[in-house]
Formats: sequence, structure tokens, C-alpha cells
Amino acid sequence: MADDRQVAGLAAGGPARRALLVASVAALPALLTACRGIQALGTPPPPPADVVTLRDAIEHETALVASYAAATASGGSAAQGGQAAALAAVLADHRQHLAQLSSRLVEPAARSSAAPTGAASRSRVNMTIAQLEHAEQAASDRLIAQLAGLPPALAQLFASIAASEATHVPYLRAAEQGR
Amino acid sequence: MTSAPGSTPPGTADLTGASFLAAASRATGTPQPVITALQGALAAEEAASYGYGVVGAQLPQGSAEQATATTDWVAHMRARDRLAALITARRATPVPAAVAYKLPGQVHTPAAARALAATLEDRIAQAYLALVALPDHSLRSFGASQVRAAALRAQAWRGSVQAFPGLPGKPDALGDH
Repeated sequence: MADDRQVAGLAAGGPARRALLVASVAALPALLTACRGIQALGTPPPPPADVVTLRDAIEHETALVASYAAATASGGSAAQGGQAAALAAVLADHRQHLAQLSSRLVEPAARSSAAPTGAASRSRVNMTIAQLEHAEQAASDRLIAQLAGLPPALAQLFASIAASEATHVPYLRAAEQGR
Repeated sequence: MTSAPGSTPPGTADLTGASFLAAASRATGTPQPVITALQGALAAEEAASYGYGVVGAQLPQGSAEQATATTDWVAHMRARDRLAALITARRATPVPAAVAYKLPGQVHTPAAARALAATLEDRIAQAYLALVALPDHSLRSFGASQVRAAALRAQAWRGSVQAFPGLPGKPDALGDH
């Protein structure tokens, strides 16, 4: 089915991150937003907006991970010394972002094992530091622009990731300037 | 600039703990999520306004860092005023600032001052995430912008990045680097 991926929403109020993860699994049966059961007849309805938003965020995060993985693996002039350490640190952040976002989306095995599409497949993996900084700011702005309508805990995760990605810009710039 | 209190007299709040948030909830008398979240952010801003006084006092006089501390302090004062206005507009009474705040440790060096500033910003980000959980879009956007602003200030003071600013808990796999 195209619509049985689900957002695992969470309670509001800023619970501990570890609890967020546990809650996302434990509370899943009560929090499903998109399970529609067997589609007997007709065209399956489109996925809920929050599922679309989450999938979009996952694709963009996947693209960022790919870009930083390429930058750290290249060993070129863009990844020397302190810059290499900074790139590795930011890559670690993005991998955590991707893991957290992915944990909120429950998909059938066939879909989740499929090749990434959209933003991830279109990602530019050979980016300069300046391009990475631009991508970070754009990613931060995009996440904040997508907050409306999200379940509270997912909105909090988006806002936190948006903040993290914004900090990558001055962090990379400082590494670039050798500070 | 204000100096750090040496003890915990009446009217003193824990500057970096959760106690002032709980106090803020009690002070409203209205168990309304919006007011509670706004009061929590206000309490955090009031604590930061106090804390930056300590930060600025321990940084070299006339230094760029001290100027940054002043800039950040002004930002927190403005945010405090905005939050108070948002609360008043909802016919609630803004939670008053504590007389003094208990610091998380001794702050007698520039390094300790920088660490305190980063901690203050962590708490600010955490408090504003409660606004992000609200359904009101304008408050949600305001909260997210403030989380981001706090994370940027924390990054500047700390010199490192965090994967999840404002989300409480520090599992090993999610710590600073």
C-alpha cells in the first residue's frame, strides 16, 4: 500500500531524548495517523501532509549526509586539518538527524528498502565549503517553514534540527578560517 | 555587572535547573499550555539576563567577547519584554524574576564565563521548544526562531556544535563534539 507509512507522533513538553525514542515505539498504536487498513476499492488517498513533510525532511537529510560523506572522504583541499575535523563533526550531526527523523516514519519493508528518490538522488556530493554552508542555511530555513501542522514532538524535533543546522554555518566558516 | 550569590537565600532560583520552570507554572494559576510555555520561556530569559551579568563581569574588560556578552544580554532583555507582553495580552501576569539565581558552579575565569553563557543558551533553547509544541503557528514559529538564535549563541560561546539543541538529555551518542 502506498499509504501505510505512518508518523509516530509524541507528546508535547520536551521529554528526554531517550524517552522520545522509546515513546515513539511504545505509543505507536495509539498515535498512528495514516494507517488506512486494506484499500478495498478505488485509488488510495494521498498520504497525510505530515507524512509528506517528514519524508521530504528525510530525503534532504539523506542528501546532506551524502554530501558530507563525500567531502570527508575526498581528502582534497576542502578537507584539510581543522576543516576535516569540522566536516566530520557536522557529518555526525547529520547522521543523528537522519536517524531521528527516520525513526518517526514507519514504512512497509519493501518501501523502506527501496533506493532513495527525490532530493537524495539529486544531491550534489561534490560541494565546496561555501556550498555546504548555503545548504545548511537552506535546510534550517526549510525545516522551520514546515512546522505548521506537524504533531508537537515532531515539530520540536524539526526545530531542534533546524537550530543545529544553522549552527553548522558559523562552525564551518570558523574552521575554514582556521579559528 | 552583577556578582554571583554565594548562598541560596529566599527568592533565589536555580539558574540552570528546572525549578524556575516549575515555579513559573505555579505562578500563573492557570494550567493553560500556552501560558505555561510562555511563562517558562520568560523565566529562562530572566535567568539568562541575570546570568549574562555574571558572564560579562568575568570576561576581559573591553574585549570583543565582553561586547558579545553585552549584545547577547540585550537580546535576552528584549526577548523577556516580548514574552511579558505576550503573557499580558493573554490576561495573565508575567512571572517575576527571582531576586538572585544560584549558579551551576564558581564563575571566576573567562573560561567559566563562556561555559556559563553556553549553558544559559542551552536552557533558553529548551524553554522555547515548549512553544514549538503549541498548535498556535505564530508562537510555534517564534519559538523555533528563538531556539535557533539560542543555538547560534551557544555555538559561538562553546565553539562546538550540537545535534539536538534544546532537547533535554545527554546520551553519550548525542553529546557535544
